[in-house]
Amino acid sequence: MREALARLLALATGLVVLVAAVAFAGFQNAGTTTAVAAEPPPVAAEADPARIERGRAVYADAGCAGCHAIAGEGNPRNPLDGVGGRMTPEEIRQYTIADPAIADDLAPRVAAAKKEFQKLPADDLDALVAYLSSLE
Amino acid sequence: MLMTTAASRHTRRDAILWIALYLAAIVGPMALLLVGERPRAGGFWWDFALAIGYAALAMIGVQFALTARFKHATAPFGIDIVYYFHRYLATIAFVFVLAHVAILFVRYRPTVGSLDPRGMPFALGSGWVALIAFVALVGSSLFRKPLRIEYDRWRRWHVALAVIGLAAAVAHVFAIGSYLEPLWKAVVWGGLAAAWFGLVVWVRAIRPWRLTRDPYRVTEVRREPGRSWTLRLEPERPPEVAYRPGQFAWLTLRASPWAMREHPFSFSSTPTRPGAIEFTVKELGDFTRTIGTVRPGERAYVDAPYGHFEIDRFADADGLVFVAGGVGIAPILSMLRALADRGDRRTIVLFYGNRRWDRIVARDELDALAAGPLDLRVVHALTEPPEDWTGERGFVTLEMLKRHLPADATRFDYFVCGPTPMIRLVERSLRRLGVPFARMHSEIFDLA
Repeated sequence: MREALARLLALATGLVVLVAAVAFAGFQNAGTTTAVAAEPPPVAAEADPARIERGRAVYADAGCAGCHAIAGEGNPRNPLDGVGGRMTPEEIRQYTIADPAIADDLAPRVAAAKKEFQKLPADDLDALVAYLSSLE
Repeated sequence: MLMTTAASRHTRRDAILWIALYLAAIVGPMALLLVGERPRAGGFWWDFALAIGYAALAMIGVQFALTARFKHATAPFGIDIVYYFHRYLATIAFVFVLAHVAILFVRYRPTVGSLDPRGMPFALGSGWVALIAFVALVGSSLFRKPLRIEYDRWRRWHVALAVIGLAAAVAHVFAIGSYLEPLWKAVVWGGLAAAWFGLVVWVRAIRPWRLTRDPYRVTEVRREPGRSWTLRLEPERPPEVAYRPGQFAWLTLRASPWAMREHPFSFSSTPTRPGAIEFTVKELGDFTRTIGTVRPGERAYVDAPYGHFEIDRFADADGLVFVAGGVGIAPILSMLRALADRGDRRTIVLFYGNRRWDRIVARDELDALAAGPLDLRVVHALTEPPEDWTGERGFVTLEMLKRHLPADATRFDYFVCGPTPMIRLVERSLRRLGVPFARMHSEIFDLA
């Protein structure tokens, strides 16, 4: 009987925590609609397909999806769909590697993470920028 | 027991207070993440997956408090129930951890990255280490007996895996840093993590150190019937620990208090006879099988008192009924001895279940108590009685209780101690006799 009481108490506690987590997610998302592109975004016609393909591979290998999403794939908090339309290739490059020119725009933790990408081979970085620029 | 007699309204209030505090310790830190500056919304499932991860971490952290044996926090419930609570909550927290991983893995697969440990970023690697530690922790605990893991070894691994899992999970949360962006949030969660690890240091280092300052010596090892032994211990620096009849201690023999080799045993002695303490122990497990080899003069450490299985909390009972199975008599002996020394004249009935007549612990002493100072009737029930046995046979059943209890026994308090199935059976029978839940008291010792 005492065991059953402990089980009941634990289940009730678990339920409260579960409801709190649901409320947390509900509150965090209240009034927002997360725009997730169902289809892969259109790719700019003039870009070199091989280069864009290379950039896509760099994006995958570098673990960019840990913080970003493209076409609904990856971390939905920071979608990159259409980034090519919002930023110039140079801005994309600056944000990718937390260039000092824009570092003030980034939270310190984000800047620290992005500085890691300064170690990317120049050619890979170029391909990555080309790929992201193609997302219009 | 959570709800006790009317005289213990404080207990009920304290129980509610501690549960509220527990929930605040879990939900509070999570809610704080939503205060002030917070990250962009990631969609319901994304934020739910992260929130449930944070909640699981807080639950796992507070697990260290549940098993820290804080006397005030465990008193309203009974420490055995707190351990059960710990076990069930661990399972629930583990399910939350699995939900966290599963949602991210299924819905946000690219964020999990490659499963190849080579080149895995620290933020993800630490999460996987935590998950593996928790799988091992929960698996080895739920299936300790089928896996035949020896109790002391399991305990050491349990603490090690818990600390590794918690450390890895904390590292994972701080490396990912979702929601921790304003510095003050990281400071709050950092403080929480420090408190959880502080509990480990308290329980595993500071409390054992305090025990070393009050060591005991074994002064007598008495053989009892039925593969049982009574150990008599005297404090090297009197007086002995203050306890109440029926309570128990965590006893360490042949090891230092840091070795995590303590085992819970009820006092069979009574505080009305000061100067020494006694434990009556049956050879049941790996540790208790060695009790008979303990010699007078050996050093012991006693972490006590614990437990709420005691008559003194129910002084308003009209009479007392004890039900003991085998060595479950130990705390009841403590209470009967105390009642005798105090000259208590209330009606007492003891149902005492054993296998065989020649294996009954303290049989002669119980006869003497019944003949002398106490209004005590002892009902022996044997599962393997001798041929000429005219007494009760088998387990303590509803019919047996009915045969021997006085008519007004619903106003008595009932104390049941023995194997868990016996406790369940007796409690069910008592319910059917109309005994209120609040008058039934038991303690479950099968904690592992």
